[in-house]
Amino acid sequence: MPEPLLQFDHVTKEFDLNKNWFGKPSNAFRAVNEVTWQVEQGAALGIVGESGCGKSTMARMAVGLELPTSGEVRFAGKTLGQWLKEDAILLRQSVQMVFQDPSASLNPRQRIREILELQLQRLTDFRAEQRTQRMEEVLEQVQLPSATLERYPHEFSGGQAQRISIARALISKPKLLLLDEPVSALDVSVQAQILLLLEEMRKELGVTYVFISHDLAVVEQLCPNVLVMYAGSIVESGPTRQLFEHRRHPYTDLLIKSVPVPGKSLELKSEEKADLENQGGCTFRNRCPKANQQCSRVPNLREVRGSIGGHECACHYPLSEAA
Amino acid sequence: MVEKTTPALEFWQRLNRNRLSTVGLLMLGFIFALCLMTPWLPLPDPDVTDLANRLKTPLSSNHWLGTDELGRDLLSRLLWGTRVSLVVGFVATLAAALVGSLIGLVSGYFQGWIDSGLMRGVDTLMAFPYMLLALAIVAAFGPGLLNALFAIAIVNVPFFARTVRGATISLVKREFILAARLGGASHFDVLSRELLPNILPVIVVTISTTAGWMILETAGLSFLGLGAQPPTADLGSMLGEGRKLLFTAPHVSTLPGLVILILVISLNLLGDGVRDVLDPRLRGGALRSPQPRTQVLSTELSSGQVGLTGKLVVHNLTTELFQQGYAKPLVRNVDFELRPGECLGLVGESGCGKSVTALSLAALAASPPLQISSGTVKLDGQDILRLPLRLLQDIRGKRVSYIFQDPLATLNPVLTIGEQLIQVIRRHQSLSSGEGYAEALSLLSKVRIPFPENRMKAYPHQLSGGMRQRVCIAIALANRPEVLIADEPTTALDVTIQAEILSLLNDLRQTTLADSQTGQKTGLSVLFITHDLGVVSTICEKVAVMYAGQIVEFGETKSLLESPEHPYTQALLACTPRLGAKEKVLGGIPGTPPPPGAYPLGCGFVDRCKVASAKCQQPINLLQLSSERQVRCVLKQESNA
Amino acid sequence: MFRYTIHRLLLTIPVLVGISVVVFLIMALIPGDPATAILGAFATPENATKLRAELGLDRPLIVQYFTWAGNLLSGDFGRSYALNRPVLDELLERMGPTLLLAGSALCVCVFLGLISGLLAAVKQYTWVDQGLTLFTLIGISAPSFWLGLMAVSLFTVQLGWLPASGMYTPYGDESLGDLLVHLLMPAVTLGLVASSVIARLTRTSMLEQLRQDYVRTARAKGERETAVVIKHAFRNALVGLIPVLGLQAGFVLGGAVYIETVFQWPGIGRMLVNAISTRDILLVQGGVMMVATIYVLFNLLADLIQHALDPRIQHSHG
Repeated sequence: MPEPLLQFDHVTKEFDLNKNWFGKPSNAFRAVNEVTWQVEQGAALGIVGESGCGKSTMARMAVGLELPTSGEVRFAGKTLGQWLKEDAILLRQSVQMVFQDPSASLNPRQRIREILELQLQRLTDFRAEQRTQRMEEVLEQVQLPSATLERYPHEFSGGQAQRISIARALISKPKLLLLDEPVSALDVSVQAQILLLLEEMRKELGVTYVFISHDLAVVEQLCPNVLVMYAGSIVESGPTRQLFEHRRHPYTDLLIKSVPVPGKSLELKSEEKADLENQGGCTFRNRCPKANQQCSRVPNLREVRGSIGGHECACHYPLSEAA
Repeated sequence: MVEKTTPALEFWQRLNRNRLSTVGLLMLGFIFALCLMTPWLPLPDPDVTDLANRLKTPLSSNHWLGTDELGRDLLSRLLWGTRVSLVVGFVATLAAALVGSLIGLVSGYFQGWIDSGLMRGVDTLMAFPYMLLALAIVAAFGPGLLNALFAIAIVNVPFFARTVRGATISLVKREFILAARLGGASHFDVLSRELLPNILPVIVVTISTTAGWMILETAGLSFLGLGAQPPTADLGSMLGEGRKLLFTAPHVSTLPGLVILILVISLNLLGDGVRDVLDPRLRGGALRSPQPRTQVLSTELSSGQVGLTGKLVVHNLTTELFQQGYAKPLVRNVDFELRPGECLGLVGESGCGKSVTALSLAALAASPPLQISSGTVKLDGQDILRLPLRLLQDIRGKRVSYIFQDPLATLNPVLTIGEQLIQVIRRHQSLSSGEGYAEALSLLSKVRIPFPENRMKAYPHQLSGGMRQRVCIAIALANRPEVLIADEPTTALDVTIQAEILSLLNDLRQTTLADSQTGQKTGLSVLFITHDLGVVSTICEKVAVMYAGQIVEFGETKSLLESPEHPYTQALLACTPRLGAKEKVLGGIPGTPPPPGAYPLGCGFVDRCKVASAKCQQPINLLQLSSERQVRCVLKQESNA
Repeated sequence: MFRYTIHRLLLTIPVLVGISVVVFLIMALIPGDPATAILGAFATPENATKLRAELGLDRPLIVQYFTWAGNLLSGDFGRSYALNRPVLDELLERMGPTLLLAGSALCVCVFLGLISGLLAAVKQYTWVDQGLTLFTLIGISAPSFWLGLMAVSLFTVQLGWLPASGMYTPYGDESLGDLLVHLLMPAVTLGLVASSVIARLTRTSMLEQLRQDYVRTARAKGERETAVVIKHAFRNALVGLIPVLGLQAGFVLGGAVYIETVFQWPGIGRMLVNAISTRDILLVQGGVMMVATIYVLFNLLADLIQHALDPRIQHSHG
């Protein structure tokens, strides 16, 4: 088994909601709760969940923009804390990120040339002609003309701007790319273009992807493996196809059944929800049809019996095969 | 891509479009030029007294503007005084801008204890009434021009610091700053190369809106005798000296005041212009606020399609964006009908005109800049676009109602859910407030909001996105409308919540259908706008696909999605990822849709279409393929003919 | 609301401490020796040393501050040398006229500002809007003291309608009518200038609100336009304007210095200007402290009103 490139080891992240008079937190929100996972060199891992489930916080911790409250995030065997202390530039070179909003992720006051060149100046010791060469190379990879360099971000459509963001992320030849909802702001026809580009880049360059999205179908296109998150915890993980077809967690089931598919009508059920505020235990128990007393204990992520490829589920009452 | 411009060039073009700011710029330029030339103008020395010629009135010989009580030439003194006032005002402004911006930038960027430390100081300075602190400082250091300058600069530092800090904080969260940090940028690098160029417009706006103010303050201190000391005179001290002569020689105090007024007016005119150009909120030319109804240009009274007996019949609807003298169509000759009890989906990608179509139906499209240039929208045969406003208002919210995309922005943030619901009920039904309350409560239960009594008292921000959208649905259904227009009602929601809302809408619609069986009412007709073909399949019986402002295909949902006829519909379906599908849908449609308002005359899809030919450049009519299928494509016309 | 009021009241304490520190520091850092300045012609080295000891000026700065602040708390603002009476007595005597002037100016400001801003926004780009825009442009560009002088030369010198200065006619009966006649010109001058700022902000804010989605919702509900403008847009605009009205109180209190000087109004502002020219330090200190405290209270009031009007901020505080 290859060595994991990125590892989350019992990582928890809390944010302070209120501070008292002395600046001490009086109320904390746990965005990510005791999460453990890893991704191997060259793999593509999808992280799926709805808004507020903690997936974006996880992305920020993976690149070192946020530090975990407890637990460790390791890249190539060293914690990000150590990396930032010892060789921040090498870490930045090796781990890059593409953001959701293409128009907000490019500095509106810089030409594309400046955006890309600054990245090279900060991360490499290339000379001027090497930089120009690299910029043209990477633009070709993302299928943009070299005239792009002389333009400002506002002159591009969302899809084109996202290509530029990908070019900026790839310019330092990173090993790991965090993709935080990179196609959510795009129309379907453009989204498919970007997905194809990402797929090609991965094959061509061997970059490892961590792909974060709320859209199951998009993740399925790109990632052989997937984690499903709910309220800060991983509820299910495994090989994408197997997980979607033989899902065991009631939340995964609800999520998949809620996705409308063209040509098929959703089975719409009038939901009846016990709107009770249950504290502690399984995070999904307030919405879960199967919840009972047992669910006040936190379920652990356990291997699904008889599965292949590490299909895990955190539920006291997993769905049976027939579901 | 748009034509190439540099930000600086664009700035000047925009600034000069505002005539008032051009006037301000010219006036200011004139004053500047005069002040620069003053030493070489043939004027008497401003400080030479000539008691024989004291208090001459304006227009007397040798003294155009007269003399003061020591016989000094007023014109000369005014020009020299303006120089002093200008220099002091601008130096104070720049000093305050420099120090304040630096504090704001640093404290907004680093936040944490640096921020709280710096801001405590700034807040303390701000806790003094404006002029009072300046007075106290001058009191301590003694009267004098330099001390006045110093005092005024200090007093204005907090203003710059707070403005710049606010702008910085909103930028620091932006992704491009995060990207720069991930790109290995040092703090100094981020501050100077990423943040500062974006903050600069804010600083320029603040400078241009405060410069006039600073000149007034300097004049004020001098007026009180705390600024310029004799024999040096600035405009304020001249005014102060002239005050004693108000009854005998009013021109001595009137003139310096007038000069200050003109100077500050020109600065403010220019400042307003600069602000309008640089403030992102005022960009895009949407300076005029939307009127109560969309402007309708034509007085079309033609009966339109005769055979259609739908609840709502839309015929030849064209809505344009009118800006800077040009009208660009966003919705082009749209025809459709909505039958009683039917749900029609209007599908398309962003910028295809689907939302503008939806808003045009009850003349709610923001006008200006939008206008309806032709077409009719008939509700039971009556054209509602051309009704008098009051009658239109009686239809809105009663017979035709709306649900919008973002349920937080579309609810009034300072009114409770109950107030907003009761408002719409009592607007259209004559009920007492008690009856209105009861009705609102039952509506909330109908949209399956738990604990409706509590929610009546809640404000929109206290509810979750799904709950807010339920409230919007309750508002829309409050007066049992005949037509419901839902504009991307589930787009802002998570999929599981979306499924709940779709299920709710479907149930509510079925209820009205069941009611209609008993013969009391016809069922609710729904126009459902969305970009998601999956959502359409779930809730709509019929679907119209829009592209580049036109309907390109129309048909029954099932058959249209199974056998799309238009190349765009085909391509769109092919690139929509489906969960669990065997094959991947990588690739998409090459190119991008034409931007709104820049639609080609012929087929809008021509640039991205695999089967396009020269004929596609001509305008194409919607072709009736069968009784329930229409398509707008040259190929189909040929094969049909 | 009650908890918030208490919370907010307690928060004013550090602000007042901050103000007192600034006031103290400004006066303590005066270049030159205050003792010599006070003694003037009587300044001999011995006398000066004696006075310094009397005033506590030979002790460390921090001790001086605490002594001074402690005295303030017990109502001892020191003694004015120029006037030869306790500073507090002088302040109390002059506070009434200043509050009267500033309060009436603030009323003029709020009333005129809000109404004309609302009108300009609703009638955007009509002659009403353009007229009001020109009017407010002059209002924010003209020096208030000059406007005051012009008003005097028009209404007193030319027309003879209104008295030019003072609070009452000298040796008159000091009736309410007399007071109002004297108050009219200064209050309106001061209020007009302040109202121009409010009018411009109200217009901008209203235009911004009228563009919001909830206004479209209100129209989609079939609300009459008057209700859309007043109940929806203006209600929201007001929430943002309340803190600005609080800031305007500061503008009015500061502007009172000029207006009191122009109209010879017997308030704190004019007292301050005189005290500065006679270098009566304790009087300046006391006056600044007093006016700043009034301003803090105005802001407190604005904050509480905003808190009551804007439901969104209610939950972010305890």
